[in-house]
Amino acid sequence: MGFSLVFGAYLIREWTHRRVLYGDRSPLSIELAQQFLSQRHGFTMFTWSTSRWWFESLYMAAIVVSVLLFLGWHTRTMSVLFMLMVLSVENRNMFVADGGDGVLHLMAIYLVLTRCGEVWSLDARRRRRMPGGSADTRLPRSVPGRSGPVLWVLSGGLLACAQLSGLSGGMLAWGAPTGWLSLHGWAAVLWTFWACAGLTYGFERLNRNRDLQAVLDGVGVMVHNCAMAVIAVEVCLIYSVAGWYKIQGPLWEDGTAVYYPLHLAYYSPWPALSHALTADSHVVFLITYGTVLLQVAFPFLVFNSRCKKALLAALMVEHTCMGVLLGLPFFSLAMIAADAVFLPTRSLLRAAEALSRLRKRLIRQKTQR
Amino acid sequence: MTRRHIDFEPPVAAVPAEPEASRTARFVIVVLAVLIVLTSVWHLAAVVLYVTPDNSMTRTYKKQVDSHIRPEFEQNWELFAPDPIQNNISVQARVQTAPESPDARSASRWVELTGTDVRNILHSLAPSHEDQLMVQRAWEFYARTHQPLRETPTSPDADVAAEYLKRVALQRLGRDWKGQPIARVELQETVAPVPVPDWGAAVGRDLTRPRTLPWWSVTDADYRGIE
Repeated sequence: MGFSLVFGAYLIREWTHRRVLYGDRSPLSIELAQQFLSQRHGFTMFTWSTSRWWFESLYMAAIVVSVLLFLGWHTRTMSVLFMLMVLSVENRNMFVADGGDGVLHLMAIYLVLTRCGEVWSLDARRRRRMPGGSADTRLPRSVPGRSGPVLWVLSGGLLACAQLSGLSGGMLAWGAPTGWLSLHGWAAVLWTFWACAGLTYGFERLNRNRDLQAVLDGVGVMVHNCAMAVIAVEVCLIYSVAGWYKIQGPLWEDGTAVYYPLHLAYYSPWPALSHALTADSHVVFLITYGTVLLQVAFPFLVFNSRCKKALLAALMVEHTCMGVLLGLPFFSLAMIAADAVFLPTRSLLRAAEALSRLRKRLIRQKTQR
Repeated sequence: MTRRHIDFEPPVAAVPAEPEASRTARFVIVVLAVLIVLTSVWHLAAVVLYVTPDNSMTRTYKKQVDSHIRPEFEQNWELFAPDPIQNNISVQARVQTAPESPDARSASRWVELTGTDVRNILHSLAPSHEDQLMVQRAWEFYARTHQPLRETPTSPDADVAAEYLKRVALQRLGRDWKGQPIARVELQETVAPVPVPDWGAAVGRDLTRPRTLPWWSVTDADYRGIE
């Protein structure tokens, strides 16, 4: 959810720059991009056609998918489409990507394997409103209503069309994977998702075979848990690797490292603020050592429920400051969304309850006046 | 005791099977669960080896790791590390309009490509990646794929890198210079170190050197799509 918000906001921010960054006016022309991707085997839909309309509709579609995933409308299908859109945008031009794009790129793939629409989503609301449904009802897994099957048939049809018409230029090949688990065979990956969605839906509706249901359900839970664990370890890795390399740097040791990026023209949208912050050696020292300490300590402290809250709060504050001072808002937001993975569902729900209570109280006050 | 559990909890409780499921079903679930866990462990191991500094294990398993991670799981988290950049780098371009005089004296003045970027970034809460990254990354891509001084390619991507950098520059320069179509273009990078603060030690390792590229000839084909 957080990631789709970041990606959607980024796409809208770059709306006026979209053609130069990713479209027909890009210095990385489609021919150049194809030449580059042919060696890397990256997946993008933007190079399938040189038509301006193809680009514009894909870009629009990417925004729509982000919004729908954010709202949680058919979360399962949308997460797959979201992944395809993120990969398409990122791989179209890798030379305008920063760390935030990297985080999005990875998380978009992992999100497909998680059940990210369980709590806050239109899907969950629809499930709750079903006869006999409640907030705790885990079954049925699939979203009630007719739009599900329609979406399923539609996506299957589109995938088949893209593959058979040769539009994809070999990017949807069944693929000879060069390594185990590699994503070179996109056709296989996408058809597997499609088949899984169909199976889950079909078994729930038509066949009440308890064993098969149990297998499907168990595997679903297992995949979700493993994907969440992979995301958690990935976030730990980001911090610990960043810390690991920093410890090797003489400037980080000297306690002056933070001074330099804040004096680079490319990273100082607010030079007066940056210079004021770095005017005092004590402040620079504290931030420099504090950053390294936080990053190195992250994987060790995050699994302790008491330390975790302070740690996550500190990191979110640091990311927010960085986002403004260095002009990296989307990187910061992506990292904050990644940090949020460690917030337990319970406390997120409690926060939501508090918010809704506050809203009710405000409304009551207004009506009383 | 309840507070002692690992507090990273997934929103779904891990109850693999309903109690009524048959033994075969439970067996299948366990087998699949083991497979899924092993896959995750394999994936994470590959990621760890990919992001760690060069070491004995990364050298031993380089091929397997690369084929698993590339292209979609590629990542690099050396953020501002081991040392942050300590140089204000700026890319400049100058042009010639008469193709038959390769003499540098007929060249135009140097035009700042970075200056526009910096102006656009100033006082912006969300600067565009076009200003922040396009020139910078295009230059890095070129520098990474070409040997300095001789400017000979060192990577199969070298041609793409050179053409991309040229087009990034040409897009900003436009087709004409003082009413004449541009025939050749030359790029250079200048390096202005951030002064070391009074209380700091000059210990950084930023070894970026200024670099001037050879003259490149420009044709209409270079401008396809970017005018």
